[in-house]
Amino acid sequence: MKFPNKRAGVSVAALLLSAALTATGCAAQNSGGGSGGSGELKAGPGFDAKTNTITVGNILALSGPIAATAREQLAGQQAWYDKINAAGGIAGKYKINLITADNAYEAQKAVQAYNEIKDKVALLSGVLGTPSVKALIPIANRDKMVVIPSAQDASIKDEPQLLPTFSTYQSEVANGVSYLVNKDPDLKKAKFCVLGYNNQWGEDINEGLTYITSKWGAKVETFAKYGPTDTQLTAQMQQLKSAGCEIIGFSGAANNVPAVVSAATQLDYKPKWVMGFMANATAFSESPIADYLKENMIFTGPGGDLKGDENQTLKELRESKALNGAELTVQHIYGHIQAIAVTTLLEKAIQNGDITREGLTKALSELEKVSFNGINGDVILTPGNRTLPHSTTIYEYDKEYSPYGLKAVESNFTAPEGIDPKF
Amino acid sequence: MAVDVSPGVAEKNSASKHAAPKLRLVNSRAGRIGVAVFIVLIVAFPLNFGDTYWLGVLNSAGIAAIAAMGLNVLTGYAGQLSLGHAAFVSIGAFTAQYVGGQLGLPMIVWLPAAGIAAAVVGAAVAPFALRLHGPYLAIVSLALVAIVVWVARNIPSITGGNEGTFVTAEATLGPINFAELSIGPLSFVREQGMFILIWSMVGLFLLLTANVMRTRAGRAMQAVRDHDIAAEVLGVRMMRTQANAFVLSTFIAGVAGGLLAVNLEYIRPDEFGVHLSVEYLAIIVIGGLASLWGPVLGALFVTMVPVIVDIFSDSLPFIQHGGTDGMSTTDMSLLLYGLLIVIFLLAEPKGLVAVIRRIRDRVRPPRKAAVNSPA
Repeated sequence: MKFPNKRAGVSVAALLLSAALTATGCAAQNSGGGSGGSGELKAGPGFDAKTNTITVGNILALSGPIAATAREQLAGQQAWYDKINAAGGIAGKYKINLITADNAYEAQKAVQAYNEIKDKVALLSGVLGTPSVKALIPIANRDKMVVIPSAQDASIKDEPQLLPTFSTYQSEVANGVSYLVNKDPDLKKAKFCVLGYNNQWGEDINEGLTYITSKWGAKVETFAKYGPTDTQLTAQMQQLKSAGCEIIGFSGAANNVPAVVSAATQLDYKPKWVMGFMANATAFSESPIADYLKENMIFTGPGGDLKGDENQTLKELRESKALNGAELTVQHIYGHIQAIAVTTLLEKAIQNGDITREGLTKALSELEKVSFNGINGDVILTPGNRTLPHSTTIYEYDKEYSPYGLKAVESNFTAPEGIDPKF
Repeated sequence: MAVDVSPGVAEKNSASKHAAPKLRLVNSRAGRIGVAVFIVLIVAFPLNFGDTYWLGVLNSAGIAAIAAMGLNVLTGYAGQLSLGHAAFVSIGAFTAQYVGGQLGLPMIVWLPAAGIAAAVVGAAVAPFALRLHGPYLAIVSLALVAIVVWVARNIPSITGGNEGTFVTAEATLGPINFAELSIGPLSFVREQGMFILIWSMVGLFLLLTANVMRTRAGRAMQAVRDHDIAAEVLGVRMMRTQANAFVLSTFIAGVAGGLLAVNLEYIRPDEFGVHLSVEYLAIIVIGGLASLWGPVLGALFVTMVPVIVDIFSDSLPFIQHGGTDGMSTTDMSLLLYGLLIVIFLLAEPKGLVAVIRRIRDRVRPPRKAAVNSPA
């Protein structure tokens, strides 16, 4: 057979080769079970039967402005897994191994990161950021992958493949404001406002503040919005000051706080701020903003007395090798809480004799409650109507107390006015 | 398979003088065989390669390539700098979910609807935007991104507002469900089916762009880009030509948005910020402005750099592992990406396409370029 030219000949050859490849279809999926187990345990991805090791994965922002936060969460998780492994592992037999992938705090990258590690892990012990968590929900539902979210959005609490562990942003701000008002009842007459991201996190803070202020007939006067990467907040601060705001609920991360303090200082504006723990950074104690934080801000989050010995779990975490000598932060505790949830679930699945994806999903549906040794409120896992912790530890800022600066003034505080069950 | 692009009377009269090329989708036997090979390959490759991570990466690259093809029409071929492309991608994405998800209409409806919705907005914006040129148009188009993001945040019934929305539009074409592809007893993972859909669309838009650029309208775009006054003197209606480019560009962006939505399964307004527009611009500059394959090569390059860094990260001592101190692979990718762009633009401003062409010409002598055929 002659071809008009070499190129056509090559093309035909390629066409035939392609057709042959199509015919094979050798990457069709085998719908068979997992990789088998160690006799009595049915196992799937993430389990190494030779070493009896269960691998769990994290999808965190290891780059970008909150990379330090992510690393602290990871260290907090590792500390708990080290403790479990040192005691012989889950059920005295199964060790935990932790791997990570970077999502750079972007939803699309989170999906790529998920695909990168999904076949190596039994479950995800942390996915950082509500957008990333939401991007993974349809995929996790399809793959029967259990995910522990590093997110506090109330809208995800009843997702069947998620095991949420923290109080919501709504509960956090409600407790923070309630704490201030209960300390000084005159503050019920104050003007309440929000300075928050122009996204769901900001909306959550607004919702929580609206709920708690309604308990004493007040309302949110102003919701000043800004972007996560904005560095000039003078206009927003002017808006808050003009509205006469005296107590402000804040959504934002540590990288936003210098801009907040800078703008407030320029305007000589000193309201009382209710901040989430992720808005604090150890570096602040060495910076000029530390005095403003001490004078005007309280912080909310899980945990307790970071330097005290009354909580054994916090004491062990503080002294763990995984922290590598670093000072204990609430971010470490955050990761520790996630790891406790993971091992609780794995214990249940191992009791059932099945740590396949389906087995872990079944164990999650059967799990009634997860407790956290006093560093976080219980999570009640009633299917379709889960109850997240409603308690919050209240911290004041004091760089003299520790370089990290957060000093617990009220552990596991719940607003006496009550917290909306949907939070 | 010919496309009906009947020339106007004036063009017919001048056809004999200027010997305009035959307007066919593919105008050579080798080309037709090449198209056939491409079609077979985009089916054969995913069916024989089941790594969902790599397929996912290639799917993202395919969608970015389509979006960049749209920008290439406007910026590369028509010479209009735009930083607003992400706005039209987002319009396509949310339209796809609204039509395919909320209204439950099939892909044969929602995918064109995504393109048409973006094109309608493009057509509405074009008369105002195209009165400006160069940096002025860039700034106006930048504002467009901000406006569209703001609008999207404030119509939660369609977009989910700040929270975004899960995408329930189905990637089905008659009996074929690309998200749950099965052939007889064989079933395939989602990424395999989506690869076939996305890269089929890449092929389709490559053909569309190649042929549009051979038409009178396409040549007019390039004439306006190269010398607008001379083109007008020769009878090219500049405003209409640029509006055509704008509408075609935004239509392609809308389709890319629809595919992005169904591939990602969760979209929110903030995903479509200026950073996305800049990424598309980088893709066409790296790949090669006003070249047919430039957006595809550029998209593959931009998507692959972080992946390659990730693969070799274990061999690099300064890369962090498992949250330890050091540079993250993402930061390393950004650094490398920036360096490569600078090196690239200094060494080869015409992009990857020119590099490949130079390599090809060293291997064998260059053929005579086809008259008026885009690169």
